[in-house]
Amino acid sequence: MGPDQLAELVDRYAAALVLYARQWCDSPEDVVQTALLKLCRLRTPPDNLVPWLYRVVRNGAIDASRAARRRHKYEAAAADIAPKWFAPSYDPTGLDARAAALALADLAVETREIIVMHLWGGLTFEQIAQTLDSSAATCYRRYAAGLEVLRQKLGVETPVKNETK
Amino acid sequence: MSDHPPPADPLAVALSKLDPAPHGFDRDALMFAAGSAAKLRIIAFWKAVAVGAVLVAGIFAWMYFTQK
Repeated sequence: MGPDQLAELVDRYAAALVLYARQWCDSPEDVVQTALLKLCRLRTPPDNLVPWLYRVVRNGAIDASRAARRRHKYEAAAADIAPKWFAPSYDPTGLDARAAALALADLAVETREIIVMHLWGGLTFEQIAQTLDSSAATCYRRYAAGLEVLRQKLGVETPVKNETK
Repeated sequence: MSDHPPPADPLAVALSKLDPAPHGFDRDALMFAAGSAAKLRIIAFWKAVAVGAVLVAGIFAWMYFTQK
C-alpha cells in the first residue's frame, strides 16, 4: 500500500474508526494506528478493505480493553467519556452532541457498534455483517431496534410512514 | 436484504451529521511508521544477506588461517 492510499484511508476513515474503537477501550488511537500498520505490512491488501479494517480495529480494541483490565471501570465511566465521542455541533437545529453521545453510550455494545459502523463509518449492512460474521438482516434488525431506543432517549418523534394506496 | 432500502430515518440523518471527534494521532508519525512497516520484509532480507556474507567471510578466513 502506497503512502497516497494510506493518507486517503486516514482522511476518510480514521475518525470513524477511532470512534468505533472507543466503544471498547480508552486508547482508540493506538488501536487504529496498529490496524493501519498491520495493513501496511500485508503483501496484498484484503479484498474487502473497509470491513477488514473494522474487524481488526474491533479485535484490537477488545484485546486492549482486556489487557488493561479496566472494562468494569471503563463501563462505569462511559457516561463521563461519552461527550468526547463527537466534535461539538454548531448547528442549532441539529442534535445535541453530548446528549447523543450519552444516549449511544447507554446502548448495548452489540447494537451500538452497528450504528457506529453504519452512520459514521458508512458501511453497508452487508459489510457490517462481514465484519461481525453475522447476517445483513440481523444487523439491520439490531440497527433499527437501536434507533428506536435512541429515539425514545432523545425524545425524537417517530417518522410518519408514507403509505401508497 | 431488500433491493429497495427504506427511506432514510430523520434521526439517523441527524445522528450522521454529528462529526466524530477528530483522531488524536500524529499523521506524520503514522506515515513514517507505515513506511517502516512496509519495508520490514526487505530490511529483514538484507539483514539476512549481511549475516550470511559475514558467516561466509568468517569461514573463508578460518580456512585461510588454519591452512597456513
